[in-house]
Amino acid sequence: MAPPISKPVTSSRENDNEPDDGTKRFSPLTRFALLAALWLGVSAAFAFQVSAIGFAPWSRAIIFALFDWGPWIIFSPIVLMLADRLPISQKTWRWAVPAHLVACILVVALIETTMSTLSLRREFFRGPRPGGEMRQERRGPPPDDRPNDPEMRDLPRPPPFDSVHFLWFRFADRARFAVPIYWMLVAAAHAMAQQRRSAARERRALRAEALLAEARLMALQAQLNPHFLFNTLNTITQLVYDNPEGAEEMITSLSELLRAVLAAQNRREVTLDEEIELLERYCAIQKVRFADRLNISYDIDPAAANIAVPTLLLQPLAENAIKHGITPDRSPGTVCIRAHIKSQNVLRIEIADTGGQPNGAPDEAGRKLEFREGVGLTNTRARLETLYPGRHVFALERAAEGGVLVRIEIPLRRISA
Amino acid sequence: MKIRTLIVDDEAPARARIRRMLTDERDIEIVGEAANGDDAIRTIGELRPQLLFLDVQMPASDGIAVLRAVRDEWLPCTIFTTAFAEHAVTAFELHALDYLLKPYSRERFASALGRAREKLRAAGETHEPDSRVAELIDDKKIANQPVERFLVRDNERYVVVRTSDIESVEAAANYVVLHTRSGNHVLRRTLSTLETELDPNQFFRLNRSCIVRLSAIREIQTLTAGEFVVFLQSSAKFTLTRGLRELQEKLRTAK
Repeated sequence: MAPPISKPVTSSRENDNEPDDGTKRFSPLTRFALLAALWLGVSAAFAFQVSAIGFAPWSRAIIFALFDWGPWIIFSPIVLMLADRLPISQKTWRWAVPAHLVACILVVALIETTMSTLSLRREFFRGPRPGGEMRQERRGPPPDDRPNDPEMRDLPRPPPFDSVHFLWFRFADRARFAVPIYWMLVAAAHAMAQQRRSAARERRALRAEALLAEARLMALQAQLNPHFLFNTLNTITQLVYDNPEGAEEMITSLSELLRAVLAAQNRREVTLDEEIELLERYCAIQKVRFADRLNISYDIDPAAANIAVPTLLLQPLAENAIKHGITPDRSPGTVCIRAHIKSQNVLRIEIADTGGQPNGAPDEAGRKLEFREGVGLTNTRARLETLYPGRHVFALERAAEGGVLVRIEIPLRRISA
Repeated sequence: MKIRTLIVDDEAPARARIRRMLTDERDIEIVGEAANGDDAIRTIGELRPQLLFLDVQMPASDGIAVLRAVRDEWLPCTIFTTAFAEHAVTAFELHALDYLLKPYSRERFASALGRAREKLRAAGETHEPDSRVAELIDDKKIANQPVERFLVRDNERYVVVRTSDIESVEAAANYVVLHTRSGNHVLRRTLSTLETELDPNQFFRLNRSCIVRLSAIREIQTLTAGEFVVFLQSSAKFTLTRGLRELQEKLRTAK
């Protein structure tokens, strides 16, 4: 016996595992490379400017530019990540803005500390600065605090290296550019996130629309299966000779069915009673076609008679049960249709068949179940999802009768016929 | 000499209709009826009809699958019946085959029957397989599905072997031996032809003369470097001369 395979569908969408953003995101490595390229580019541009004016040779200029912009190669991914994690929105700004302020100060301090440590070690700070005597290269003794050339003395002299003031000055100097850059990065991250969200929204809307249109088309096709229609007409052409009364009944049943299909386009729901009556018409036709190979049993709770159900919900399911569950086999099969009130506000409908291959190997049966999911059921599934999003159950299970059981649970609502 | 005719349709009224339309045809002898694919395959083997009325849309084993199963034994002149102009109809037209769209008129039925008659008269007493039917079932658009059943002659009997029952296949000259749990069956077909008819996700060709079902493989042993022996659950063993890598991949991914 195959393990029961059930696929209850409540609210899960198939596309949940798909990335929700419409735009494709770069991999972290690519993003890092892009950012690095950006800052290297900025550095190069600045260095080019400096060297073109003639303030410093290219080699010097690029090193200076890198000291200014280079740290962002490391820090901008961090800032972007922070901005993604701590988005500033109407709900979050109360803590996100202070958090970013703190992060901003930290980032600036970190950049400054790292860079000054590096530069001290390599004596760059005492070295050339844009303007002045910088052109002559100095590879002299360790720097003392006071440059001794006279031009330099005219410049506002930095305070002594070890004073708090000096640190503060350096920090402020760094912050002049770093703080705007920090907030620009935060803004850029927000803009990108917004862009992704709107693209995703658009895509979702398009997908929902396409799904709806498809469901409509499929509903129409399922309700008026041309195979069924023409096979029935063919059956009638024979019954006209063999059994005129049967032919007459068949024609009236088919007419009722066609009327219901046409009406279904205007009438979205009917009472369970009406739906079952229609189903009986349909099954009566199928019984004539398959004669003694098909039995239909009904077990309908009379109390459920005036509950609203979607028009022609059951006919495609019965068709499926007959098509896959009964006719492959030579021995007669039964389709069981059950409906009862499960709880005060849930109606449960079950359609079970005795199965086409009672002796089939378990794995074969399992595969069959999977196969059957594809055909007519997708449409019903989509229909229920549109009508009762997240409030219904649509499950396929192995039936106690041997075949497959389709179980539907929908919110209970009574209407007058 | 009457034309031996078989009617295949899953609906009794549809069979009755063909039977009725043939009652006045003096040269037609209805030798049998079949209500599903399996019965059809067996009956075609046993009764060897010259003319076949075949419902395309049958559950379990459709009309094309029936023809594919019997092709090496007996391929009759076929008139297809179908309720709906599906993709098969395009192929019927392409191969100049006759088909009837249900419900069909008397005139349409008569003209299809007339053409079949001519065709059979031209063939005379020789029972050559209908070449148009053979072309149809070789049509890639129609026959891209793996074969599900084979008709196998077993002395006086005909047996329908489901591919799902086949564990392994061995080649023997122009024949293949189908090993199933219930016994062995000999089929007149080359292994290469058979390979194209089996689902590559379920079967694997181990060497020049053998195909096995992937799910039947129990273990693979190294014989010498680059040579392997594949053991099946039935403890049959075969040497593997084709890619081990490919087999491993298939074993991993196959259902």
